[in-house]
Amino acid sequence: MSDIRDNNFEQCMKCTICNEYCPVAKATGLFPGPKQAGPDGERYRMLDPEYYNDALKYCLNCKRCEVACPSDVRIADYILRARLRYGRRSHVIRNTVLSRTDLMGTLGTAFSPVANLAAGMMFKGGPRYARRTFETLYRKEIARSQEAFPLKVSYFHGCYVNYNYPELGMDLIKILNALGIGVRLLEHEQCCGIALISNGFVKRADKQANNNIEQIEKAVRGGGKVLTTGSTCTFTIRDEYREILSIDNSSVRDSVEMAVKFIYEFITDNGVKLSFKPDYKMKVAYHTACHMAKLGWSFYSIELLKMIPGVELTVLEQQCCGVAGTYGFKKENRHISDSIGEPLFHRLKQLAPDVVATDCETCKWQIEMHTGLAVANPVSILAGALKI
Amino acid sequence: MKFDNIIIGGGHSGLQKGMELLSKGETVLAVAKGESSRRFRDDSYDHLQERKRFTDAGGVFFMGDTVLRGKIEDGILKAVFTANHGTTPMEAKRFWLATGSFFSKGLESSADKVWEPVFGLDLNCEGDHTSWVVPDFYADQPFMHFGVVTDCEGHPRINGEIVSNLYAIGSITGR
Repeated sequence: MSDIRDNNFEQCMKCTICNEYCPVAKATGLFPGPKQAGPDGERYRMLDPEYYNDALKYCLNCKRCEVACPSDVRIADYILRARLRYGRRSHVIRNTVLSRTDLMGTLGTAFSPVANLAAGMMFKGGPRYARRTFETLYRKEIARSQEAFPLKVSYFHGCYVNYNYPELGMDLIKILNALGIGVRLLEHEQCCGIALISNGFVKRADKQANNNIEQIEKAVRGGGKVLTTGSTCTFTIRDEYREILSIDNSSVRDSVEMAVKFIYEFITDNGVKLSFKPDYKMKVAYHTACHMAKLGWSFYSIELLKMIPGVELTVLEQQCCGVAGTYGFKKENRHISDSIGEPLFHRLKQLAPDVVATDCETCKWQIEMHTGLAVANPVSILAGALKI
Repeated sequence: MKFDNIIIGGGHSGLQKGMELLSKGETVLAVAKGESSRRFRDDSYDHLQERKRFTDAGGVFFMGDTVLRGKIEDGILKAVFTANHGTTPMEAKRFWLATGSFFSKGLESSADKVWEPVFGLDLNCEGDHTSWVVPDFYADQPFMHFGVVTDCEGHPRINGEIVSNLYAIGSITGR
């Protein structure tokens, strides 16, 4: 008999606040809600895996239940781990395509005109492929100038920046260089693996996680940080590697952080005065991505946006946009995904900002597809407002 | 990051204090472990509305974060550190401990001791566990009066030493 104190679900006091916060439970009766699917169900699944309920696949892993939980129960982790352990595979080919963001990215950038035409027919707004990857761009045009900076950080760009939107990586380099900081890349970065994890491809996710930890270890040896611009990649490396894949990431966890956190702290700690374009005017609405809420770091993005003179900022009420990475791109989830996001889209159409700011790339796609509004990472907005 | 005030706990007491401080023009950060437990006792209490009033008034609210420890020098609390923000110190002139009682985990207990988990503050809990409860389940239970001991200004103590810029408010206080 194991020590039952090790079971984190014992901390659950059945308050049901997680159900109130669950965007899926609000949108559909198909999902039993985080309390039943997570801590309650786990008790039974430990007894007999037959108690596994296939409806757990409707959980979009937003972690909003965990943010609300006053007892630190890792509700969504229980659900995701149960899905990986007991779930049946379905739509294997489609899910492989969706979760191999790196492979699809390599193909997509190589054949970008064709890939974009196809993506354009499927989604209005949404993912497009860049002509050249960020890594190629960096090695050809950026790398040489970075060594001259006295301070250096590394940048984990993620698949989105590499294949879809290298501009974001360039914006970050522009800001950091202006602060006197050089940017390096990891020697061999791989996709963080979140799409693999949520689609059940654990072995490959394990391999990529181990590679990334090794690469990050190498980069932060002797101090230094690894910065990111995507909230989900960051969250995956910091938390999902440990909680879902059971990989020890303690050597790198504190060194990996969102660039907005690093920039905010660098500016405030060193009393840096940024110089902004004098006539800059922008109406910005900030949407807190779910994993940004879980990281608890939206404060940094919001404060950076507030620093820009001429920005009229509205911080939106916390809610999920419904896309949750690959979730919203699946036909069977489409109506759930859309109805989760509806209140957000409605609010945004009412506000009609010049730009919606969010730290998550898939939120960006979802909001673009449903509202037609321009969406940008706070890093890009900051870079655009700087006088350099 | 620096604030005039940091409130540890985002329940009713914490936010009420927060509103008072904001109205004086001070900056306030409230760190809440999760949703407030007050809603279980009081149907008319709308936790979401109260939080919205707080943030609308300029308060910063960290939801789902836990203050793990503080840095105390010469009886002054310099900064606190949270689970989400890691090694980033959260500095303030004054700190308000509003983490609630047992249900909200402001107090924790085992069979032989009761403790305040953030700072290890002095409590009014005495004797062993047989004296903490009375057999009649519905009676006024002694353990429900446990909490932090404060001076008349609300300062708690650690091993008898006052922390001069920390205040205990709400149900964390012993009574």
